[in-house]
Amino acid sequence: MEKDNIEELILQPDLARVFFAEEEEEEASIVVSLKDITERTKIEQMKNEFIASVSHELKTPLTIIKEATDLVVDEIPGKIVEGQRDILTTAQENIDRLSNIINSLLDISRIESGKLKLYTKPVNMSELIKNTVSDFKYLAEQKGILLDYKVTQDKVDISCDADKIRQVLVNLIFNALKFTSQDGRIKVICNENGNEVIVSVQDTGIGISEENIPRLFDRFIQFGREPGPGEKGTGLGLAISKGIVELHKGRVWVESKLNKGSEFYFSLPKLSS
Amino acid sequence: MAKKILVADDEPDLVKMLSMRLRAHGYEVIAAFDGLQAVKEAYKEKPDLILLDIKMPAGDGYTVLENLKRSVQIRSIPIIFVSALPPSEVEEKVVQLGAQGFISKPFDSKELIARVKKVLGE
Repeated sequence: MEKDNIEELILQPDLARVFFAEEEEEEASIVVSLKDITERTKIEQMKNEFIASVSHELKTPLTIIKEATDLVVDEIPGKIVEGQRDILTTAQENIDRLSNIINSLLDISRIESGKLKLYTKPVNMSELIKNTVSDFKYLAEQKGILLDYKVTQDKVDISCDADKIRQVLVNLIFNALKFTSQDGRIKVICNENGNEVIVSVQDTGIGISEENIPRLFDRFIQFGREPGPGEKGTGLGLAISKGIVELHKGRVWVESKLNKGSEFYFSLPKLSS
Repeated sequence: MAKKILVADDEPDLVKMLSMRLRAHGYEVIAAFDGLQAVKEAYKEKPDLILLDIKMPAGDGYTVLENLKRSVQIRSIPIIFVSALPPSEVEEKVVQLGAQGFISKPFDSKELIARVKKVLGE
């Protein structure tokens, strides 16, 4: 395909083939083919902008519905009976759920359009892990799960956006709690490996089958979701976590065995001193 | 005497809800539905605190704040921004501009009241 304005195209390396010289007078050659992804990139951009603006518009009516419900539950306009409180509590839970979905959509559209900004500063990773784990202690106890952490040192300095890395930890611990049953165990581990810090969240939960692992960090992918009551995710948590870690120039990966448990890892570069 | 709070937001339903909440906590509430009205009410009523939306017609929240900061009489009134814009884009900017803080929509009403009380020194 010939195009005049090739500088304006967005091209992605597609295939590379090396031809070795078979006879002495022949020269070796490499053929690289590039895929024109200009159109696809533009559509992706439009989609991200669309998601961002729709999500933003959804927040205003949601704020009003949330406050209206809260006012009634807090009995500000007048007393309510127990049955009314039950119904409104269900409404509140679902308002929070919707709010989480909207925030996740905004996060993912910002990550994909490169608009998510990091506010990096020196952070003690051990401290961040301790604090995040302690925030989940109550929830874990309620589910009869033993949640603890293991850090090699009390002070492991890295340069990162503390709020966003906390969000990754929260996503991973929350998932582990969701897929681990009573009497199970969850452990958050922090290790140093050369120039990077490796954090993992290990559980004794239901695990992930081998065929599902490659798609695990994709958007809107949910495995092991059970019908009926219980915590419902957005299918975006792992995609967001991956995006945040990669923005920090780190990696995410998982090791898992069906019915044995999973261990989700992420690495972050250490402070360059 | 009850402390006065100016609520400026272009969504009348939200102003209504927020006013109910604030009145239940013993505050007097004045409402404004656009930037211009917010500035006018601030000069006229000299509230103890302003809860200010950002995206509003006739002058957004930033313009309102800049206007109020120019007046010696009312520049000391604390302002808390309440907006659906992402905290990552707004939080730092509003503090630099001299506001007391930022509350993200949809907000938790208990948290909002706690912030209001803190800023009012209660």
